[in-house]
Amino acid sequence: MDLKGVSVFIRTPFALWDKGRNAVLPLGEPGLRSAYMDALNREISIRGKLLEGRSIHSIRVGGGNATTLPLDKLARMLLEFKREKEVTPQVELVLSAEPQTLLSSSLSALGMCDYTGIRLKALSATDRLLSSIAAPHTCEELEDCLYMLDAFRCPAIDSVLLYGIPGQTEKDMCDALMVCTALPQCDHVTLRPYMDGSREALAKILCCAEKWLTDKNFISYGNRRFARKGGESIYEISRNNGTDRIGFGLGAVTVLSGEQWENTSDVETYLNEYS
Amino acid sequence: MSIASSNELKVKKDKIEGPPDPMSVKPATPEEISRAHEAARRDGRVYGICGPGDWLGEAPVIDEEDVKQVIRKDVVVVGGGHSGLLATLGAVDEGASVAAIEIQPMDAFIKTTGKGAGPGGWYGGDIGHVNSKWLIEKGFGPYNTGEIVYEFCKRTLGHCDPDIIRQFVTKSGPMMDRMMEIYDSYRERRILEDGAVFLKRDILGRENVTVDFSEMTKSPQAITHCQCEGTEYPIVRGDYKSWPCNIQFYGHQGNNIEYFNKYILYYTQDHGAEWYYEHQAVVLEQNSEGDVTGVYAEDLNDAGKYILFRANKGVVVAAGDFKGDPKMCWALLNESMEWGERFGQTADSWHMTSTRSGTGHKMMCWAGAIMETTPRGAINQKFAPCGPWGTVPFLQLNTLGKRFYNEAAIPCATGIFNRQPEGKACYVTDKKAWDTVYKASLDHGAPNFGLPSMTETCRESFAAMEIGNPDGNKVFGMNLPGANRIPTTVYAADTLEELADMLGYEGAEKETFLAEIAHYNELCYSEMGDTDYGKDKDLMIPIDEAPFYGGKSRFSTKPSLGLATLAGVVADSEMRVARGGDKTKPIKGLYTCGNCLGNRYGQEYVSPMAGNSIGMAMTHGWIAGQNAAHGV
Repeated sequence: MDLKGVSVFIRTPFALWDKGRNAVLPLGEPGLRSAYMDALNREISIRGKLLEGRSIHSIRVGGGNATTLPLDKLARMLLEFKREKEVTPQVELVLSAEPQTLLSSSLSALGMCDYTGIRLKALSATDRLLSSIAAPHTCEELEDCLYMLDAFRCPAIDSVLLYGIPGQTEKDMCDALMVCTALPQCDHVTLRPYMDGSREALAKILCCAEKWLTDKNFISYGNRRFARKGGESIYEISRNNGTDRIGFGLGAVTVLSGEQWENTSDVETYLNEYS
Repeated sequence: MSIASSNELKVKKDKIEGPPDPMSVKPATPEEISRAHEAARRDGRVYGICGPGDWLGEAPVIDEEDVKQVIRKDVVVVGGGHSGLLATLGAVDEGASVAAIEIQPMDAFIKTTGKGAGPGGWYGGDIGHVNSKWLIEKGFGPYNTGEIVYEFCKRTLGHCDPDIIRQFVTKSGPMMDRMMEIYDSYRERRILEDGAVFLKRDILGRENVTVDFSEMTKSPQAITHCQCEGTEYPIVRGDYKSWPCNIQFYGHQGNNIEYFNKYILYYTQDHGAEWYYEHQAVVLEQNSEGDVTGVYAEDLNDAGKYILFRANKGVVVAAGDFKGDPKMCWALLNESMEWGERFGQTADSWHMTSTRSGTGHKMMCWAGAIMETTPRGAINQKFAPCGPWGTVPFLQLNTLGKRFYNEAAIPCATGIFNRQPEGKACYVTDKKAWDTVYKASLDHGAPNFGLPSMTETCRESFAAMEIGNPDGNKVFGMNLPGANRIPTTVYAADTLEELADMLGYEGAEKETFLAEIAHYNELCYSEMGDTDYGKDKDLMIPIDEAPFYGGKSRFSTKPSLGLATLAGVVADSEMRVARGGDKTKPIKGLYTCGNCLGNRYGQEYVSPMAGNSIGMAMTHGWIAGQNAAHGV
């Protein structure tokens, strides 16, 4: 895999579920998200000069739930970004999303930016467990979301699943994997430890998941990421290798030629800076 | 004066003067209309709409200095989705010069790279239509069109214009014939462009394959029909009829309708239509008499600059629905709004925005049109508690463990579900489950027997279930409208008591659960059948042979806007937009179709055949384009 060039991270900090490892913002008023979108656009137009002369091989839109933002604006911004910057022909463009936000209107809007995949915060496919972690969706809503992604022919789906949720059994994990790999485009699984899980539970369920995925010909390529052959994330590989990465948005990190810096994590400061 | 003597006086008066003449009801005067407008404004509403808020606003005024170009054509079509595509074809076929304006880029519709991954421009997998040559050759038709028209009217409870429905039912077959003719004429190009498409993975899970998308109409079993050969149609379930009247485009990736539609697009381009992608229509142009003469569209690659598309004959607005505008949804989807508010939602809760944000509706209303009256709905049915096979008339129980309706009456379901107590729901069946599955209707959400491989996969995973597992088993799906292989949880138990536990029924609810099933069985065996709710006798199959199966669901009044809104402006059956809702006074030069057109569905999507939403959009688009070309 040719990793010459740079990856881009666009931070979309709003989310419905706030117990993940990234600090996220609640949805708040639509005006706030719209203002954030405008500020993001301005930041990209100003700091996008960092990308001059660099070829972009991957774009990740996440750090929250990309689909909480006005998607027609986001899709248009990404479309113009890809046209204006130098991107590789096979540039990877993946957006993070939560199941209830993937409706027909959001998916038809996203179609505009020719995205290559969705990173879906599935978490689990057992209602008992989803309820215990206060997930905002049910198993039925997860299934509906997968149906919608299939109907709109999402090219690739990376399901993020939790392991080590108190009370989680091996069958729960296997069921989640089965649901989240049922569609042909479900070619990637990311396992995340549940923050309150016991070490024993974490190890046991992780082992079960690894075996299940290996038996189904998924390849482990680092940091609890599994993909079918050819489904590995360019963004994740380059990030693990410490290659250059430009970050836009609230709290986004940029790594360039060995130097690293981070945007402000304060919303008001960020909006004022790019107003 | 007493009531008796007052009535006596009235009777005497009628005998002398005759009863009041209904023709003497005078139309409202301009002053009365003006007062009504003012009252609505004071109420904070749009005139003629009961829902809250000013979703309409004021029409933008385009500065002539920002108009960079004027393009003149016979017909201008706003929107390049299914209905806009066919409007363009309809106009081209009538010899008109056409400009089609579309907000999305072209490759949201057609991948030109030879790789078959996901556009979303033309979504949906079925074209519902009636009595095409293609269907009749396959043994599905000809069917009585009047019967189908009436079925729509019945299912919409009369909240439709039967002539608009009749146009779809009678002309969708000829429309499909025309599309097939065009598709067939592009055989060489199809083989060149689509004969070898690389897929990273196909619907069967094969990796890095090269597949042939060049023969989209020859996929076997590409019609949604009943399991049993020799079935007489329409089939009747719960006193509602459904027909096998669609074509499915299940290529190698699930639905692949763009591999069919693209040739219609090419045809229009090859015959002079000019497509302006990444242009957003914002306001109609009108002359001093209020006739529509054109439309202003912003070039999204030259922000703030507009093209004025002038139409010699007519503008067809096919700009899609308004799901992406929360304010519009809140104001216009009245029943959903009431349920939402009672669920603690506000307009902001419906926050998903998209390119389909009611621009077409607004442009037409600014030009003098008006939205259809309430009920106004969306494709937002609540599906019954159902398993991987889709909506099937199994016994269903609510959170109290009680049965509550005729499970075969699918068109009634959403309203009934909204009126059930909030909480869990389930379906229950037994060893004879597949007897009922095979008797399902052809409604949206029902089993899809059009793809036998899906049925096989579902049956195999069903047979492999572990009886007695309290967490249930994942069984692969087979329901309409998609090639839905997503596994759903089915519970299997040796006793009904055990099944009740698995489904979450305890205490008094569990007792009710068991008692309801026992009573249901009594009805099944009785001579009169379902004297509680009137389900068809042949669907009353007793639940008395282990293993017993069931699945969970949940009733919630939390509204879902589903796939698309369905409410549009008032127009006549020739797709001419009515001024102020008066169909005798069409706005000259203005036509509409698709989800911009009103008086088709009423409260919610109805499906006497699968795919009728797309079929209706296309047929009405085709008619609108033809009419616009002639200035009808």
